[in-house]
Amino acid sequence: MDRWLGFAPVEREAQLVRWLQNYDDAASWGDDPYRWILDSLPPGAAGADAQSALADAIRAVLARRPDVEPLGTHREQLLYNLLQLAAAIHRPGRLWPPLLEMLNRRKLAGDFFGSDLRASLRAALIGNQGDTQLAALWLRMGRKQEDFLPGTLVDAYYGALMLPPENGGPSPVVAESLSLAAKDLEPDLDRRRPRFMELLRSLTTAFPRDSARWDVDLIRMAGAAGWPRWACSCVNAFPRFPDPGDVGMPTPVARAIGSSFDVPIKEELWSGCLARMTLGNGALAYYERFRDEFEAGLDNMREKTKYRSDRAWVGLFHMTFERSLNQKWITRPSQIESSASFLCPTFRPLNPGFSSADQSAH
Amino acid sequence: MVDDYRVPQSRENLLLKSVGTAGIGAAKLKEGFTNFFKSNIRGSQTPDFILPVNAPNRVPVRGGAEGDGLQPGLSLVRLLNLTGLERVYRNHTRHASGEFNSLEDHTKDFTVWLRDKCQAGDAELERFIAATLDMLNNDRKKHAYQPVWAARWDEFKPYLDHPEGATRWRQALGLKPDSRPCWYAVLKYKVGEVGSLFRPSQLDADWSGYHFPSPAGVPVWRGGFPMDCRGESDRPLSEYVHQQIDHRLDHWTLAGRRVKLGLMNDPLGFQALRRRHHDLLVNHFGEAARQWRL
Repeated sequence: MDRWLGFAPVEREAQLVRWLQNYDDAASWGDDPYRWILDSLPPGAAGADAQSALADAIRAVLARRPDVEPLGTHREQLLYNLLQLAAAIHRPGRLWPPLLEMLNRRKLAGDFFGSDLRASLRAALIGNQGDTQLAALWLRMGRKQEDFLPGTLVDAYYGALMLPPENGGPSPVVAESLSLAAKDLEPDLDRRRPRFMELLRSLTTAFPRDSARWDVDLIRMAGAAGWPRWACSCVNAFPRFPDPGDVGMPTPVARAIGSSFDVPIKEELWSGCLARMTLGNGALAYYERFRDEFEAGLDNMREKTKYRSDRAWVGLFHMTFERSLNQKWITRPSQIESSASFLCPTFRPLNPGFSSADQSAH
Repeated sequence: MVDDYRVPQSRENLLLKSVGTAGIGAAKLKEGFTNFFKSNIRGSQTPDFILPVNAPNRVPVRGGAEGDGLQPGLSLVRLLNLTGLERVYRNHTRHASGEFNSLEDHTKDFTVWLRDKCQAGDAELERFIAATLDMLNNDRKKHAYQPVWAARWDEFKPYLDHPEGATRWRQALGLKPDSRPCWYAVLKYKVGEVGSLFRPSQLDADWSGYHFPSPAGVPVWRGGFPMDCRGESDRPLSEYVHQQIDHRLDHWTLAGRRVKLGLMNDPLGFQALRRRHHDLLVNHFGEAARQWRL
């Protein structure tokens, strides 16, 4: 890489084209050439400098329109490695315009050993978005209506996640992409909760905030974008709000507290799935006991039984709620409904005959 | 230092090997630590914090569709202390821009010279900043000066238009008071431009009590938390370190073309500042943060 950096720009471009077709130094590596190049990058600022130089060379190759003009002796290999390399280098200032031009030409076709070249273009576009032009495309992909770039709901979400930040936060498209992903993420209903939690984790690590703030932001995002209610099991259902004494909880818990302690619900969240209340001493003690018991149960479930589905979450919530009433942590209110009235329409139990049409309704 | 959970065992070993482990008084420890910092961080083209020995403090940056980590399009902010660059300016008096020519006269008062540059009209100031960044981009390849401290732009933004200007900027980012007022330029750039980003530890902060350890249990991508030298912040900012990088003029123009003079008169004493910061961390991250010593 040091030797390559010493070349003139034209020589760099020519050498890159050869490397990407597995010639010269890249030939003995035994893996895709783009990986060899990435592994050759030095750490720290020197790596950043090298990435900028690579981006210049990639831009020069893209300017030769390799999707429509013959280039190299192994066209598919060259294009695959070129786009995969671009995908791993975040240099939108250099790479966004030529990648967008390639997308707009809609001429890219073919595959390299079964890898669709358009999928590599998608990856390169995701990592190098210089503006919000592709927001509509990611939503189209999330609705399975995109007719050129292949991609899943998860790809569409990652495309939205990598749109340029707005005021230090995620693009508003992210909330809707998550909603689309949650509705059709996973045919195995026992796996949808852990998979959706992975998506949420990628969001919260991409835009670091205090966990308490993210707890509230995710709930508001879910409510505004209409995430399916089962996804409530994927967020912290007992968030702490910035206002002193303000906490959130599943609505059955809020109603039990309201009846016993005469505390009104301050705000309904996520279409009534959760509620916000301002709690004083007695009510707060019940709330904290319930929350701690439930969270300990979640930890136990995750560590010991390995149950991670939203159905398991619902079952645990139901048991904790009933126990809190039966063991008199709280006085059983005379007119409180069972937690089932909250859970049934929200978290329909698994059923082999549960059709996809039914799922989309929830 | 060795109780700081952010210092990995491998870096602790490097420090102990350098300063020794027995018969060390306070003065010798300070001298050994300072020398260690100079050789392994400040003057190194491959400072310890970018090496595998510091892997636990590497902040993951998201690469396209893979992995977790900071969104590379997030913006960072750096306060560039122009006053602190006197020696660099004097070493580059023959810079091609001609901007620093007048410093060839060694008797020229640098403070007055810099004030005139920073208070010049818009076009002159832009030329001066462009020349300064170009000078630093070239200089860093020969003379390392690590690390660069950076914060999150979105978190720092509310301070930008504070009536006390650069005085408040400096305080918010926990820059310790200098013996003289300093001119600061604000630079804004992307996480994806820095190569690698790291959570700082005391080992990267020289012998400075103004660096305060961040509490255990906070994810690495939150970085460290600068001590507000005004003691008024109600939420801790995130701070990171990275190596020197090339800065472009648009890093300055995108930050609002800001250059201002920061004063060093902090309202609270050093111990009070540390107590305030400690309280802030406890309030924010819970009782676990109380374990840290004042």
